[in-house]
Amino acid sequence: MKKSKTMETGSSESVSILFQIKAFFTSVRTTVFLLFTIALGAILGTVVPQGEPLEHIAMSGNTFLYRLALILDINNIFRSWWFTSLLGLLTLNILGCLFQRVPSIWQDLRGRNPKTSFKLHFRSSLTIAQLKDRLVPVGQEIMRAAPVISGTRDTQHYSWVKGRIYLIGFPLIHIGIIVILLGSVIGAFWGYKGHMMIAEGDSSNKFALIPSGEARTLPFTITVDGFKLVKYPTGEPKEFRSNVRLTQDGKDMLTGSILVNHPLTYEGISLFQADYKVLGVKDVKLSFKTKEGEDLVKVADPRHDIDIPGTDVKLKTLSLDPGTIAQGPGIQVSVPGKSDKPQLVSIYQKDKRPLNIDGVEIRFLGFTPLYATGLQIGYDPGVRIVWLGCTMLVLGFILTLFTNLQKLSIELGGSSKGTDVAISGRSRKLRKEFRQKVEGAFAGITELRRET
Amino acid sequence: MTNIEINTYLTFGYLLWIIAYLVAFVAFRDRARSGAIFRAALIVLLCIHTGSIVLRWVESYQMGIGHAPLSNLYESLVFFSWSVALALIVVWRRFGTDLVALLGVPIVFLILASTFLIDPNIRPLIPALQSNWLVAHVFTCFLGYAGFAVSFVAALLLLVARSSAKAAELLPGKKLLDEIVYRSILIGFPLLTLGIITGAAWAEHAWGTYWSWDPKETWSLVTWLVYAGFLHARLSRGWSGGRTALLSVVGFCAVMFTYFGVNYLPGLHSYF
Repeated sequence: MKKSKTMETGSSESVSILFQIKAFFTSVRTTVFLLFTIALGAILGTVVPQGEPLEHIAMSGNTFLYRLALILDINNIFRSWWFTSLLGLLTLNILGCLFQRVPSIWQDLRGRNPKTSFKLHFRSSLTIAQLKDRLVPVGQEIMRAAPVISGTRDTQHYSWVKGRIYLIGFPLIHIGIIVILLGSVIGAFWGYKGHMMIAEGDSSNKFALIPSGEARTLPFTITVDGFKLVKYPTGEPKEFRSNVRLTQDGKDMLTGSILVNHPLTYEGISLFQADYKVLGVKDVKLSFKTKEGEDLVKVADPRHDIDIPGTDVKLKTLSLDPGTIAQGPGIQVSVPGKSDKPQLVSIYQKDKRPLNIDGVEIRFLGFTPLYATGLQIGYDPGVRIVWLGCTMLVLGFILTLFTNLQKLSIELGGSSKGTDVAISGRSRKLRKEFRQKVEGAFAGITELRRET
Repeated sequence: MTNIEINTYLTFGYLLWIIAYLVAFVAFRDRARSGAIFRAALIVLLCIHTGSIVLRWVESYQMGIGHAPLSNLYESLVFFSWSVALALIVVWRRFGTDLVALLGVPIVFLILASTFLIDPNIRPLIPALQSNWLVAHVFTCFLGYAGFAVSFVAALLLLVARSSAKAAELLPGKKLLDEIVYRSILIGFPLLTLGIITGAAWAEHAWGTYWSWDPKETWSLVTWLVYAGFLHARLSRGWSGGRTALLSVVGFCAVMFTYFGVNYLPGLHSYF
């Protein structure tokens, strides 16, 4: 006997534990708790510097911070075990709430929910048929539709339902959030990010993973035909543009431009304009004024010697000098000096006096830099799922905000002393307003006596 | 007149409105009549405000660097104050409470006055800011913030009304204030959600990452979580009155921190 008794209590305990777990995951109290806890964790992640390697913290001598980092990943909160667990718990909690509520939403959608938010009782000396002619048009005016009629010999039932689509809003919002979280998990596991730097005219299929820097290879080769930097008259950058060709097995697959805010996507891999570098000088522009007064402009490759027109002297470009605002950029060139020793001269764009060699006046007009473009590589198979979740979320909000489930029903029942009238209604939003509207509409009918 | 000059006059216009209303509040018994005049005056100010935003848009096109006036701190502040003023008028019409406006217009004034501290000139857009997602992001975020601002003002009034019976006699009914606290968040929350989503879409297009946990993003999520907590506590846990009013105040502090405070934390998001 004793044995069976302990078994009984044991089983009831395990039931209650299961019940408690179920209650935990289906409770909105848990939701509120999780929302605020996640908020606090996120705040912590903005106060403590993130992404600092553990070794650095160990060496900094701050043992308290080091311990926290070791146990709680405080240097990497948003990927820590406890923060992701909180998000996981929130997902389970949302699922729990959905499972609990969806059956009744389904019932409601099929019109099988008898719930009402108010019920008004009246009595009248008129017959059911007479009352029907007075009351149904009023209901029709409120609900703007014809009623569904049902009834037996002594009772008549007129009912209206409006805005049933409102019911989809709640599950749509909450499933949307789960879908977003799911998409982000997929991205975290199967996506990658990288960076590559390609000089104008060069090709590459190698990139470095972010943040590890590990070398990887793309399934295609990127050739940069050109990089353009356009500036506003004020000097601020207006456009960064990389003109690229994507080739696979020697065949051109895709040609296009990559700009900031305009990535190029091929085989699910997106290429973003990230940064650029000036590698050197593509060409220099010089003007020559000969002794005869003739003006010549030459665009020349700085790697070769440049002939000075009308002479047999050659210029050799040595280096580019960024110069100052007053001088403008300049180049350093070597010209044959006296006693055959080359002489080094710098010419700046804004020099007042030109360089004079053998009577030819030489000015430096400008140069075209040779760029390397920095492309960010992004592959995220979860991103479409994230956008799907966002769309569901937005649609859910639109339904919740702009639609409303409203029900109205009029029940007429005969009795010996007259007719019993019951008017009931239900509104998921603006309940008070809906009740007032219904009460106001039926208050005008003097044949109805309100029963309390 | 340029939009910057209009904004300067407008700032003092709002200040004048506050002073005049305070005087009228003390001097006149007939609040209903003076209220109607002041509401009309506020609508006029809002129209001028709208005009100044449109004018800035036109001016930017005349300069050849045309873009919607929602692209830097100055423009976002002007738009933020516009949305708060709009929200106040809507609440005034809907609920008939002049006190929420009387307390809310100083917020409009303070936001506009703070633009005196920063560069008001129309700047050309750098490549990262050339995005329609950005326009949608700023637009929805600040409309949402305006809802939160109105809720905050009503929450403050409610907290005052709850703490002193004497003050409560002068203030709108507690039930009504509670309703305003809640309804404003009900509008603001979906707008903030839309703002975060469009911001993520912008980040995805510009940098290839829709979410990177930078402080501004994280704080916008914190704000979202606080208001999500508010709605769940209210709708399912039956919280109302003091507790939800306190949450509304906390939420608005998070909004303000997301907007202004985050710049003091390490991180990027340097445009706004």
